[in-house]
Amino acid sequence: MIKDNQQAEQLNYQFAYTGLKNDGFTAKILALPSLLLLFVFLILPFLVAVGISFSDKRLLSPHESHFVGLDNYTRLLSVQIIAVNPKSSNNLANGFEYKGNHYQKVRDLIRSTPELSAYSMLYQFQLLNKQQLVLAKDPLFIQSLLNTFKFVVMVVPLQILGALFLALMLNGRGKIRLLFKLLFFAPVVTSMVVVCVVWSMIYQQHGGLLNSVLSMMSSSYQPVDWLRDPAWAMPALVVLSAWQGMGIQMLIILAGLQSIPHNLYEAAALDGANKWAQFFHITLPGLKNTLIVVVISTVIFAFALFVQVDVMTQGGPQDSTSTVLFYAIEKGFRQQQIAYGAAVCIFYFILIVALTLFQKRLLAHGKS
Amino acid sequence: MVKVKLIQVIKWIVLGLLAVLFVSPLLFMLAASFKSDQQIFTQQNIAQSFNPFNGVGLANYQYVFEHTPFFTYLMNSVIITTCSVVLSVLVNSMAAYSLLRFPWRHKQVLLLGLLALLIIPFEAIVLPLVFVVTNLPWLAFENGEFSLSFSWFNSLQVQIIPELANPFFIYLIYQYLKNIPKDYEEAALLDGASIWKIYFSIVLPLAKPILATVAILTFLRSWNAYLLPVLVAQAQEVRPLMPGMQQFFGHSTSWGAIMAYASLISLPVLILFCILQKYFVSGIQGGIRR
Amino acid sequence: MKLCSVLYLLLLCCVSYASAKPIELWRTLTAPDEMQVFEQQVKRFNQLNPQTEIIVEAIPHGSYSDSVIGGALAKDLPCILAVDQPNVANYAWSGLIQPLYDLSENNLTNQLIKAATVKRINPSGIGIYQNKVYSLGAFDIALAMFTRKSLIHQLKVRLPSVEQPWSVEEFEHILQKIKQLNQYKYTLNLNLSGVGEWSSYAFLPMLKSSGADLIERKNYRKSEGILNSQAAINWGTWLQNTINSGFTQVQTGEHALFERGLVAIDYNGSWMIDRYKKALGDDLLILPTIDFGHGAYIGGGSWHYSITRQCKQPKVAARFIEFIMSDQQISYFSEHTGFIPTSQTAAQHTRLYRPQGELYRLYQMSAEHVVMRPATPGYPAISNIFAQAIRRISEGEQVQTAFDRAVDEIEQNILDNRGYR
Repeated sequence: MIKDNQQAEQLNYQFAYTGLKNDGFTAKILALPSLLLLFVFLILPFLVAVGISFSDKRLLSPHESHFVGLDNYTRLLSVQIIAVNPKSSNNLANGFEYKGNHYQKVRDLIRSTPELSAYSMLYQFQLLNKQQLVLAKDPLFIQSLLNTFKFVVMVVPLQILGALFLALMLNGRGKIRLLFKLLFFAPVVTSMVVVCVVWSMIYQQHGGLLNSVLSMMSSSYQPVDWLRDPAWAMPALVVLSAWQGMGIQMLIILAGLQSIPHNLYEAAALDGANKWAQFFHITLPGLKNTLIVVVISTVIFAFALFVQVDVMTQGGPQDSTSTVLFYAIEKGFRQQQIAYGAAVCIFYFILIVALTLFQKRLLAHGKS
Repeated sequence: MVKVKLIQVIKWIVLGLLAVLFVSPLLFMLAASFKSDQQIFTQQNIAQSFNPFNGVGLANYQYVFEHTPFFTYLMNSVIITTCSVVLSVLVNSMAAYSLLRFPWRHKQVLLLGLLALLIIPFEAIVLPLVFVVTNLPWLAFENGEFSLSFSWFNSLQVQIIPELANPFFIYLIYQYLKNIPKDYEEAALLDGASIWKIYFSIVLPLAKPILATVAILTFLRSWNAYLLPVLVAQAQEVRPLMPGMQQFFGHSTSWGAIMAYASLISLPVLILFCILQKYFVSGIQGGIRR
Repeated sequence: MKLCSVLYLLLLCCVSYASAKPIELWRTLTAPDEMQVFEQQVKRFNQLNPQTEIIVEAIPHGSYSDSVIGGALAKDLPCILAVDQPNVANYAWSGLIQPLYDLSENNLTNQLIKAATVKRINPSGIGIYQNKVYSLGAFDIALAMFTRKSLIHQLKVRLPSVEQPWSVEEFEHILQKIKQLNQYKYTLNLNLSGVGEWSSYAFLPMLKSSGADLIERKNYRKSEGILNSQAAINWGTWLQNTINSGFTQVQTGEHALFERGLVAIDYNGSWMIDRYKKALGDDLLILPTIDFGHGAYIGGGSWHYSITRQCKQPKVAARFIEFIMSDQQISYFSEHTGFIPTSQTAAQHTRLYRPQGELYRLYQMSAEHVVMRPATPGYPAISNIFAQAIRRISEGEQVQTAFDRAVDEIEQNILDNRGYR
């Protein structure tokens, strides 16, 4: 039904005139460059990536590559949880017992248990009086995946709420408003690489601008080494990324605000609705579609975190900023394990598709 | 009344502070480019940090011009960006126009396929893309004769062509063109004008606002491109400004020189942005509104 | 349509750069002085051989290995390729470079390089993989502790020598004393934030001096019990303690610490000598490295030149390598850069490294107390993993955990590459 409607709608835009036979050919020529380019530079590499991810190809190697099936993917995603009995109550420092054997270190257990080979420790926690060990075949990938989610969860609300706030404040015409819009948009036109280098300097522990400002405000302030402290490195990247990207979301939301009919507000004001009521009953519903676009695009953009990590932290400190894409480039190109890197990329692709569909559905659900 | 005014005042003060916060990293970059490392990291006083006149003057800029092939990089960036913008506008608008106005078999599938391509992130295919571009033929024209090569590695076209066609841009233009009545075009068609003529003399002028958006977005992406050039454009004579910055990493180059380089590559864009701000703001707003 | 074709032509014109290819050479972009000396050498060679032309492409240090990988993928490598000596095995194994001289071959006529050249050069100037010479290098660098004569005088401590270097206990005592002086902002600079190959180059000698190593050096397959041995743990703990007690730091964000008198002792490469001498003059003191129990060591092997398999004129390329490896050119290069020459006969003609020379001890150190990095195709991976372990340790991760993990990763990498057979 919907499909038919869409087809009918399309006919409205098409030329009804069919007198010239050559036009069909010209039309194809018009679209040809794009379709060809999209095939060669988007679809083809994608198919190549899918193909390679089922092999053990290395970037440069004297060996022939073999088909290995899903090996790369299983290695990426293998996670096991085992429960062990620690000797002392809360930690594994004094060794532990697993299936009747005593081990001093987790690594000893892994090295002496064939079915755990190639695993290493990712995380541990306590549950049911036992120490639960989370083991993964590629802990760094799992860590990168979690880091990526962490980044998304922090940056998306910050960026969108910030942009929403600025847009609401600056909605309207006027020279001053325009000036402010320009100021908030300036970081967007600055290259991410430049932004990263500038902020690296701002984040320096000794003499960096941020620490100078903070110690000016409080004399007892201990300078934080923002990019080298595992607890702070990711938030530092979040702030910088939100700063760089907020302007564009602001503009999109402003566009959305302008499409809300002004008489709605006037009517509400006549009904005695205050500003807050107007915001919740007119502005937010009116912005719904815009916000859906903004949320989805910001999430996708945030998942693609790469340049900041590559330039500023190289995934450190203690892998706290390694992200999926950084890991893919690191593995696939710099460590030359292209097959494995391709598997990471394909996994990433599936993740993005799934998330987009999920988000659309969630937001569509909220709508009805 | 007084209360409302007070709120207004507070609002603008808050906004003003935020704006200062927003541009301060850029101002700091500019100020630091006139200083030595020691001055950058020991001037604890904030006012001093942002004062460009208490440093070493233009020494850092001199260093940049003496130690990097800055003008080669600039030339490359300009060529790449110009070609990208012009070709991207043409290629994508041609496709959008063709898809909108002409009967295509399975048009619905085609359009959905185009939308699906939107989801493939560039970063996810960059590795196999390196494979692809290093195995493509290229007919080059030089010194009055044609020569054939079989790799796009270390070339300018590798930084232009792969990212030209963009499903998002096609989609944007497609949506925009929908709002243009087809009557003019059909009339011209009846008068015997060719499709090309109609495209260039009717469609393109009418689609100006959205083409401006596409041009701006392409410009930003192309000027700021980093990942692909780092991987496939390593020769100095084809390297653009952004990855040229790598020259400073790992070396014990002073921060001041890095900031000078950063200022040099950012300022043209910021200035261009100020001049063309109308198009930036309204272009992006207008482009996305639909 | 016309516009399109005009644009296409325009595009064609502006992107066609490739010109006739004489002999291309890739190297890293280094300090201006060194670049100048090398360009002089190239100019000289081009003058002597008017029928060929060497063209130098200097690539930023940070992106050099990315460039080589990219070039190899595109089959667009230059004829002559500079290679960091520890990566020779990997490049040879990957099929990027070709042998210059087969050590097991008796027929000497087929070799690209003369036997006499190979014989004349010190081990650190030769890159060997599977009994074949793949690369030659005209210079080496050495690690040293840089400090000030006045400071050592003030501290009233023993001057170490090549034969009797400072022991680690002595060294710690000295660091303590310096810290108490309160004259220097920082006590020791280990350049822990150094990127790329620095970690392996600088800290493998310390590891070796503690009695550990990166990997077993016969089959290059096992690291268990070597990189995570007690000796390695001890050294890692020392490093961590040194950071924790404030003697050294991971990063300062400042440059030129030593020249500006901000740090008392600088652990660095001999490539700094020139700059330091200009800043400190006679007060500069260059000391041997620390003895962690098994003797003091320095790293060996610097940038070499090799010939790629794609090279269409390997004989001419080899002639260029022979040229820069001649004693005359080695000593010329050393004289103007201060780098350590890789041949005894060339060293005799240099001001600094002849037996009476000011830096003869450095030459001795590099000839006798040198630890080469493991000559296995897996080295780049090993080096990367080791660098990360060092980073984790300096960021405070438990030493045992960090090295255990490094061992696991190294062995996994070897497995993934089918033992680098």
